Amino acid sequence: MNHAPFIWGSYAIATFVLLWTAVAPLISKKTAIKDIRTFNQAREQSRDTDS
Amino acid sequence: MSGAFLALLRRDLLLAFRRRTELLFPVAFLLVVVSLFPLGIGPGPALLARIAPGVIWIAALLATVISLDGLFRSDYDDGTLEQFILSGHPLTLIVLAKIVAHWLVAGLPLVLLSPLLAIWMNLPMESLGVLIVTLLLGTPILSLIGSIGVGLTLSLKRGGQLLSLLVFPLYVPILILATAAVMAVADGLPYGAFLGLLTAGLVTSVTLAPFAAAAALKISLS
Amino acid sequence: MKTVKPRKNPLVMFIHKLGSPPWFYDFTGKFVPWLWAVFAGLTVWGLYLGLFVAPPDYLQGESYRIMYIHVPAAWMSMMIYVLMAFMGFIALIWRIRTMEIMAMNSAPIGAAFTLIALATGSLWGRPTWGAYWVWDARLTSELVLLFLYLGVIGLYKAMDEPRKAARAASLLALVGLVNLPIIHFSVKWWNTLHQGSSISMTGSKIDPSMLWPLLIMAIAMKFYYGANLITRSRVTLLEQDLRKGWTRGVIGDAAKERKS
Repeated sequence: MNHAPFIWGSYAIATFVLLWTAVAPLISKKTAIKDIRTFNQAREQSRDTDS
Repeated sequence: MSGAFLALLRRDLLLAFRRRTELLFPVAFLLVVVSLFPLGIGPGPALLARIAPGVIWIAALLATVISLDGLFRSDYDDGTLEQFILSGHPLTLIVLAKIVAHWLVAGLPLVLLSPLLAIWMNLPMESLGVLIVTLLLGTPILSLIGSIGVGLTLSLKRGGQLLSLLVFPLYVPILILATAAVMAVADGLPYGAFLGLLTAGLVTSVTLAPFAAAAALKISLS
Repeated sequence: MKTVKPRKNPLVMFIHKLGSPPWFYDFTGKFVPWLWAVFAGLTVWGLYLGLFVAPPDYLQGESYRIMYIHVPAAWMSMMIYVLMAFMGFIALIWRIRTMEIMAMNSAPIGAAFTLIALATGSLWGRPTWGAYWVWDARLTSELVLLFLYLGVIGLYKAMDEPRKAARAASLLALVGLVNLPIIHFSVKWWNTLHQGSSISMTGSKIDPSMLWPLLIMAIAMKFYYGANLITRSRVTLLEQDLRKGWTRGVIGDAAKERKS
């Protein structure tokens, strides 16, 4: 039995899972920064309009 | 202190018996689940006998998890649970009283039904005694460990579904020990060690689980 | 919580400062890239030694090389659970928010390693012992471990209030920790009862040329955990502290980073 597909498959799965686990928070970070920016812009706008 | 324990035990039992039809739900569930196996696998007596201990015990696990939701539910819904926490009585003892009441109402019927289930699953009669002992020792452990899960999921809307995921990994050792004991009888092997471990598990759960369940309740109601 | 008199001891000061989200965010941001760099370097080195330098195994041929990812993943899956429970314990007793966040963020990383251990273990089993899955002690315990992780993640996500959810999930993690050795022991016993031979790789001595890459990969994975945990925890702090003042400083830095 050719062992190669099993070895390649194992490392492929491991690489995929580790990459996904590493990248997912980076995507969340972009969203979080966007939300912080939106929140602060809205706050400054409302501050500018109340006087 | 034991006065509070007994009073609470009596109260929970009285409340349970006021809704007698609800007591039958776990029993009915158990009967239905077990009868599904011969229907799904085929009525071959040798095969049924082989899987009988596992099937009966898994059905007991499922029936326990289903009935566990009622452990704290009604007290949580009407605010009594908060009063218990504020009452100054040790919450651990209160939890233990409720678990004992719950087991008497939901766990003990499983033990009493086991001869019928043994007949359905063609369990060899010499194994029945050990099966009953494993259920007597094991179902309280299921209630005790399960109460921790119930305490944690109490404030959730779909708590019941998550509860199964939470407690089944914790139930694995009990399932393994109990079925190993019953299967050992059929194979003519010694089963004392398994029963001993189950007893140790019961003693440990009685001392530790109510404490953890009380902590879980305090978190859920915070 | 009792107020702590400020002490001059630097270690205590350091631990105390870590409890403050903006300080934690700034401090960890400085060395997280180094953690990733060490992880990458060790992984490249370890895989080079393990895949190209180490000779084929006498019995298993080439398929034993799966061990270089399977075994570190399995070790990490268990180590992370213990750390998660430990951090959860601290979070429960002392209610330190950064501890809560780090404990909860450990769970998905631990689950990922468990998944890798299960998948690679399965793929290792097929060419070596003929079956994709066997209910041997190690694989079965890993599966139960995965369920424990999913339970912690599920419970944490199911509650609306993050701090309360973290405390509940931490308690669950601790209960699971107490049960883990019991589960492992009972599954091992169950296995020796029902199967004659237990399928495991340990027992045979490992040649040093095969052992070194394994250890290097094991250490590399620890750096992965550290880097990923800190990355995730920083993002959680941003998400939770959306309305707090200190996050405004962060978007300023992020804008500067994009411009440069």
